[in-house]
Amino acid sequence: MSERLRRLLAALLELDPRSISAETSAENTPSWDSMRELMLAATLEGEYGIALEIDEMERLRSVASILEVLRSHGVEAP
Amino acid sequence: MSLEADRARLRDPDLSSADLFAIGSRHLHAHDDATVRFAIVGNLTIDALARAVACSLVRDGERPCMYLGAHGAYVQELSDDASALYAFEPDAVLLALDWRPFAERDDAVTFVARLWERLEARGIAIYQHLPEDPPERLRGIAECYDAASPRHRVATARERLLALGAGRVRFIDTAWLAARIGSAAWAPPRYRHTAQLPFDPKHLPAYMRLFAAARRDARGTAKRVLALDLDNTLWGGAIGDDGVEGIELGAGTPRGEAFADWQRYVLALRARGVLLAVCSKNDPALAVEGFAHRQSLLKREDFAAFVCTWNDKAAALRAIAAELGLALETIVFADDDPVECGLVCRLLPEVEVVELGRDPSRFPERLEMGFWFDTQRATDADALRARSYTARAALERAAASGDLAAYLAELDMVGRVFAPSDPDFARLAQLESKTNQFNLTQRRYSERDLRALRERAVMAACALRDRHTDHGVVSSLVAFVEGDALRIDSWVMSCRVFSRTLEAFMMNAVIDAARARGVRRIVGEYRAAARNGVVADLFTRLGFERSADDPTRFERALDAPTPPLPTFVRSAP
Repeated sequence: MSERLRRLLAALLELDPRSISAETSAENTPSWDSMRELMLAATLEGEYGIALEIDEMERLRSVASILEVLRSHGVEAP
Repeated sequence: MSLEADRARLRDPDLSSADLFAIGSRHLHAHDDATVRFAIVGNLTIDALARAVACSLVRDGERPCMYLGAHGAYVQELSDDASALYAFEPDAVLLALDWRPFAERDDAVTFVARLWERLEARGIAIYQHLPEDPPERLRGIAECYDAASPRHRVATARERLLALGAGRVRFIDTAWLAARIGSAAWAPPRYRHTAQLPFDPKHLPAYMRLFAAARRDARGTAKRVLALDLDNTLWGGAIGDDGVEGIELGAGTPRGEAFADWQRYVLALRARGVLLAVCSKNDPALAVEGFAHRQSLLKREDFAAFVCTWNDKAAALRAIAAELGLALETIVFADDDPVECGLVCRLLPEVEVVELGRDPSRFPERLEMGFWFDTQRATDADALRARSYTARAALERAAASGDLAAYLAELDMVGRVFAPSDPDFARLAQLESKTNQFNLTQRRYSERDLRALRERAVMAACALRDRHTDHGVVSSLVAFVEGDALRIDSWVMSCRVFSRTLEAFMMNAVIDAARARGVRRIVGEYRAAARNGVVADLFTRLGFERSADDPTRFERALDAPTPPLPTFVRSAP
């Protein structure tokens, strides 16, 4: 995971950047609630200049799926 | 994290929506020692925008305690005396309604106004979103004529809300913000379908600033002074180094135009009661010269305070506040230089700072997106300051009523026709190359051509100013003496000054010049092109006869003395 994505997630989820790994997900992160998931969507759209599709809006539940969604928008190194 | 640290982060112009959301989350219910109890209700999800409201209050020094109404239940919450909202005992309520309730029914405004009455009866201050236009076009223009269409209903509702709410309700100008951002980007449907969000959370920082403006109006903490740097802020270049002739300002270059347009914007603020101040590191005597520039719309006397020193700008701003007898908190400081902005930010947190950047065409936008001078109702004092604005409005009414002659007379136009010299050729060549409408022959002379022709040709340039602005050089004419005739080879005029009788003013000068050279007639040509139909009859309007054997040729004899062509432009003294 890039520093850019790590910093972005840390700010949004109010976590220490060092605590974020490829395994971080809504399951193991209490602050990763549905509102923050939407903020994450808006932030990713702004940061990477993409527009998510509606079914992707609800897939931002883990670092792994975020990377997958970004890749599908051509963001290879987020 | 401390309140002060949060305040500082919320003042950052680059605040991200993610940071705003995180800070706002901490302040939703945080304060036992709250200074204001603020309730928010809406027809869609308010969770995100409530955080922006909390941030706005924290940013401007308040300690809020927030109440978030149940999703979509605003009618019940406001109608039921036993509701949780009334149990919260709010000082203020925000009705965060988008356009939808107003599109659904004709009487939505009446209905909302009844809710206001309930709040007023309890002494609760009211804030409300001004509904934005519906993004759906449906069948287009026909919707505008259909009184029951969403587009028509929402437009009508806005007017009625403003009329009924005047002095009672503080409106959040979401209608403008949505239009400014663009309705598609303001509220992409995916955010509503996913979580019923009324707008894309990307725009939370802008929304926070917009809300803050309405809140300042309520608290009487609206900004009153715009303190401006000079060099590269009100004109391009440095007056001390470049001199008054060297600064970039006004017609002639795109940057110069942009600075002039920014000056126009600043003057419009002044006309609405905003006090202007100069805060510059300059020699005061030199600084004043900038306002003597012939295209400077701003004049020295437009500034209520004028502080030019070599001290730091924090000290200068203190001097301005003292001179005006106002608190530092009333000042917005705008400067192109990030270093100066950073210094003032750090030393004077009371002053709001707008970093204008390097592109003067963006200055108005940079300032406007802070909503610093927003007010809900203009006061009497504003009206007194607004005399020039009132005069201009009268003029526009005259134009609208069809009385063009009166309109032109009131424009108070002053023209100057002159033989161009070296510094003028760049501007004239620009007119030759860019002008497509008032362009009689499509012969486009370059700067080099013009220089080369200066001995052989008869050239005329024309500058125009009126009561509103100095347009600078707006027309170029190149003619040749051929036998007993003066033949106009090229004539172009900027489209900004069409239909003002400037062409007649200029032709009078050309006729005088032709007579002085002893020629007996003037010959004109019109060659039709894609976009120059507007001047197809120019020469006949100016008293020329079309040639019988060549329809592109026009001629005006100078044998008999003729009265000058009528014009509303008078000669510069």
